[in-house]
Amino acid sequence: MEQLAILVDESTRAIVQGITGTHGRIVTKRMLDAGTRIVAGVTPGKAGEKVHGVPVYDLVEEAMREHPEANAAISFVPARFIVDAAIEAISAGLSPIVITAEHVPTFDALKIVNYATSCGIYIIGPNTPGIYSPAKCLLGFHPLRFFGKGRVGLMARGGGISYEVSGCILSKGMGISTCVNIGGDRITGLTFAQVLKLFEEDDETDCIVIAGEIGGTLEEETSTVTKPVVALIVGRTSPSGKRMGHAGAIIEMGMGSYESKVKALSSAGAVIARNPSEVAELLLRLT
Amino acid sequence: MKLYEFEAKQVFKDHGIPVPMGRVAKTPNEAREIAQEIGMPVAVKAQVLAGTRGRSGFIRFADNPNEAEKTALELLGSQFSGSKVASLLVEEKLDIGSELYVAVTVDGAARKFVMIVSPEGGIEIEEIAAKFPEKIIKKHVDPWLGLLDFQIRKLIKGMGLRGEQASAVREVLTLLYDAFKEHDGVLAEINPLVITKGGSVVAVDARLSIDENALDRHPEFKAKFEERKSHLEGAELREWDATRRGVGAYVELDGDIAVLANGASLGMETIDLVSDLSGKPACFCDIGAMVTAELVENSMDLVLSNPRVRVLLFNILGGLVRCDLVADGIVNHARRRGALVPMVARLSGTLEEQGRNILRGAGVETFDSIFEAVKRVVEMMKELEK
Repeated sequence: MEQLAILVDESTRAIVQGITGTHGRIVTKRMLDAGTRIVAGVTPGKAGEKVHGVPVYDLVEEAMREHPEANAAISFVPARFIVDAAIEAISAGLSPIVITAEHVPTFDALKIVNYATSCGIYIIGPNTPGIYSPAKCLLGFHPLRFFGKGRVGLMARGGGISYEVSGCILSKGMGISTCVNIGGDRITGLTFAQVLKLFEEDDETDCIVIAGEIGGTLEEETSTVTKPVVALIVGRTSPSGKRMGHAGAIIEMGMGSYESKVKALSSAGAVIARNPSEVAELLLRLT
Repeated sequence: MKLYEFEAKQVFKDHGIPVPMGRVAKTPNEAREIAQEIGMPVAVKAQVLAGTRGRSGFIRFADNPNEAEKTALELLGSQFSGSKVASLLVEEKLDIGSELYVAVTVDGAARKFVMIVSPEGGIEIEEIAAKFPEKIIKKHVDPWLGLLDFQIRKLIKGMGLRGEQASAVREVLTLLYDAFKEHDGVLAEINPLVITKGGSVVAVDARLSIDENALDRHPEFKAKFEERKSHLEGAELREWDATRRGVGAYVELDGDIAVLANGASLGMETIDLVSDLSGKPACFCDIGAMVTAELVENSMDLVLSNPRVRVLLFNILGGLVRCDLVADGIVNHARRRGALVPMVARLSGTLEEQGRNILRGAGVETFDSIFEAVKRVVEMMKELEK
């Protein structure tokens, strides 16, 4: 039987939007080193250049004409141009599309996410390090040394906490099937509930980790699944009413508090860990 | 970014939403003059950004210019929810027939805008939700499609409106959504939207919050934002200063261990771990993903401007962040100040060996594990207290 990871795998053929910028170049190198098949880059006005051997085009459409096998995208386009770039990638039918940009206005994020949803396209982000299926595909900038290949499905908002959790899992001799970072903003494309469902149906995933945080209601919206779930919610000692870096991480009027998340996740059957190392210990016990 | 009532009303008025006649007063004398101009009983309303003003006596009524002046004298300079009342909105007092609630905001869970209305206006939405949950009517609005006519009809019907009033409120809903969209709002609220005994529809209170990530396309608000922040003091000033210095985020807490991390979730995790070992975090400082040595130096200056800070804890777990640049920043900072601040550094990720070597050379204790780093910093704090 063919073994597929969720969202990205060996069949992923990626286009990098904004490939000629500083981050576009650095991350393209890292993704190539991780074995990702990157077929083209796009930067308006830079057609004909090459970045680490990857040909650059002016338009996604032109890249698709030369590389019709392309089926996913990651963008390093800054916030002020992101609506245009994302709609361009959505219109080309690429999915998933990883949006790394920070400080995307809410209105713009809503436009992107709603258009993508109506087209059946998955958006990962904005404000995300991306997605990584070890030994298959890196569509993002996760530091590889914290990740081992294995059967734990991992989801988080930001990057740091997912590297930390994955590192602890690795140190206990386990590994990750796919790590999905949905992004730190108030509006995210993929939600925890959607990723949970994908992991539930994934043959390569035996158990699932939700590394969530205070603020928003994405953790509360997840439902019960048959696979074991371990959840960590960071920010339990953070004060309410303060925006803790992530636009999502603010407790307002009791919404999105640590207690409300733990309650919802526990009643859905998840086991609650208090820190990343406890996540790994609980996984050992559950599997 | 929250706007004051008078600012929000100006925006709504510019969009064609009827608001009461009135102006802002900064002195009791101005309040008297405005009341005189209006020539009938007035409302005198403290201009503050937080809290419910009505019940705490920060919205008062005056029958004549003398009373308006006296009321203004009492309100100006008084404290409300931690801020000083610096200005008042003096406007005509209306003959209230009924009060509606209308608002548009962002529903993060549904990933749409949401228009919320209720026939039970005049009290806070939380209270309406508690007392009359069945009387709150919501419609999700797609950012591309906008507020559609059938949705407005549903909202109007839900509020039980008919005839001329229905047409007037329908107009207000359309204009409110336009104002919200055009200014990149995250909340636009009119509560109450008053139907006067004479049958006219007027926005008696107004709230508007602007998306701070969209300020670049609203220069008029951006300037206001900068101006407003220039009056801050203490912790609030330092929090504002963070954005100027290019630091991702800075939130002040009341302890003595400054936590600097590259990422919000990592920072929150670090604060949890420090607190679990009975350490007391002094701040949460997210230095972000685009780290340069200069930014590290800036962040250190920022956290050290809080006089309570005794030790620093760096938690760097880099995806894009280069550990050697973080180390350079720390060393440059020590060189500039002529001394090393007591600190512990967890450096992991890109170029971690180089980074740790630089720091070891400068005498900084470095770790690969955050658990050990946190343990060490809490110990260090105890040693300092001895």
